[in-house]
Amino acid sequence: MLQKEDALQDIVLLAKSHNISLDEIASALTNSQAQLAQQSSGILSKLFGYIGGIFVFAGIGVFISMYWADFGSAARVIITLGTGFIAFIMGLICLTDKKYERAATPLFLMAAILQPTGILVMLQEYSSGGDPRVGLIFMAIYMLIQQGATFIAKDRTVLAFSAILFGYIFFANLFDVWDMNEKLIGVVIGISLLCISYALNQSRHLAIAPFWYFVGAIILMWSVFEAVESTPFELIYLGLSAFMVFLSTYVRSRTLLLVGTLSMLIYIGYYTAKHFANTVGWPIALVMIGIALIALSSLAVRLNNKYIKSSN
Amino acid sequence: MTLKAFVKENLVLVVGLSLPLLLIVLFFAATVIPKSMATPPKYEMLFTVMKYDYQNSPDYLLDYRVKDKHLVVKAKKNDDKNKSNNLNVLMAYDANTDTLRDISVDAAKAADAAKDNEALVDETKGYEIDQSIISPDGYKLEGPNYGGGGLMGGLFGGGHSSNNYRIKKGSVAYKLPDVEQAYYYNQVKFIGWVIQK
Repeated sequence: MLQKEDALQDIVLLAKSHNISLDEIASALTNSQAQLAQQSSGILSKLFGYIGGIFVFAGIGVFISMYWADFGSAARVIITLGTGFIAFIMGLICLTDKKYERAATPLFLMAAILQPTGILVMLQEYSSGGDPRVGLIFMAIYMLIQQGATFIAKDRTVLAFSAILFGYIFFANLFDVWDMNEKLIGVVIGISLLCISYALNQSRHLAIAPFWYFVGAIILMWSVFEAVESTPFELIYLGLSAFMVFLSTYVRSRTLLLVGTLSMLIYIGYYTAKHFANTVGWPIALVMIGIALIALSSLAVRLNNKYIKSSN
Repeated sequence: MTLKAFVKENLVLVVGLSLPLLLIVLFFAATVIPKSMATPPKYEMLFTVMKYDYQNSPDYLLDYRVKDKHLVVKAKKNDDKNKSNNLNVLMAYDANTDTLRDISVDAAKAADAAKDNEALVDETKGYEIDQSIISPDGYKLEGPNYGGGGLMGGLFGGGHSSNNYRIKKGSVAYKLPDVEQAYYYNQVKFIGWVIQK
């Protein structure tokens, strides 16, 4: 019963975020054969779009690397920043025509790689020196404004991804320039990313939520461990791992479950090796790790089956 | 949709977006505000920086220390088989005006005066120096943080480990301008605080 309610909840969420009407759902359910054919053609066109994008990107990359040494400063900037900007404009044009809409994502991806590279090349060629982090902040601001504004206007997942990426590049470098404690930066950015991933998971951009859940959780766990390592508060890390496993069931994320379980296992291994390796004996410690591993893995599978898998 | 309704509907997103901004606000509250209300350091700080001249080796190797509240120098002729290219440069930092000055010492004259011993540094003759780690007004020189930046630095950039030395009292800090030290690690050597000129 619980599974059915969860599934219904997800259907409502997806219908709301994609503006799908009841009639459209009903017609899709009754005409499943046509739906299947449409889906297969959609996958094919997406596949060719991505392969095409990879080929174009590879061609540009090989061309740039072949002639890099022969290029002057202006040529280097034009070939990277210029190409990236053109890819971005082409992506925007593709969005205006349904026929070419599928090509937009690879073009935006190319733009998100080439433009920042171009900006950094421009700074390298023309700047008068200084702190490279300020250059990274400048690049991140430009990209954040461009990608963020386009995301607000066009609501594309790829733009949400790049806006988040450049946003956090901006914050990480800004905090670093201000000499803030890197553990504090990690904790704040980690929690912030987890919150944003949760919001992504509730929206139509849920495809990128697992990636940002992973990055956020890893940054948070890493920073907390660095902060409490070899202090009386070290066990807080274990508590955080357990909380991460709990959170994974609440937000229904396998990624968080994986990070929580792995971090707990790694910590148990680290703690055992540090405190029990020479006193009780390493073989006993290994058995303890093994038992913990089996217990945790079975718990993880049970949690996945009960709270996560049923809802996906 | 009103702002209130948006915040209510997307509370987690709003929290996620505002956390880094909150950190910026807290950072300013914890550093900029106390600094604007604190009394700046009254005394200039004397220190040396190890520099490296790739082309010329100095004629004398100078070593500074404080003796009876005055700066003295020990000069040694740089005529070993393997001549050193390291140069010990004497500098002074005034945090009050945020100025860094290079005190150029006439090495030959100092060596002549020292005659294999120590001699008063002519350029700082009138200075009275307190070599306590903490200045009479409570400031202390703090070294740079060579931490790597952790995973954050690896993923999003940053973590370039600050090379900055600071004069610090509680949460009030004055960053030393770039002293262009020759090597990566601690080449700034504290000498003392100039109590009187």
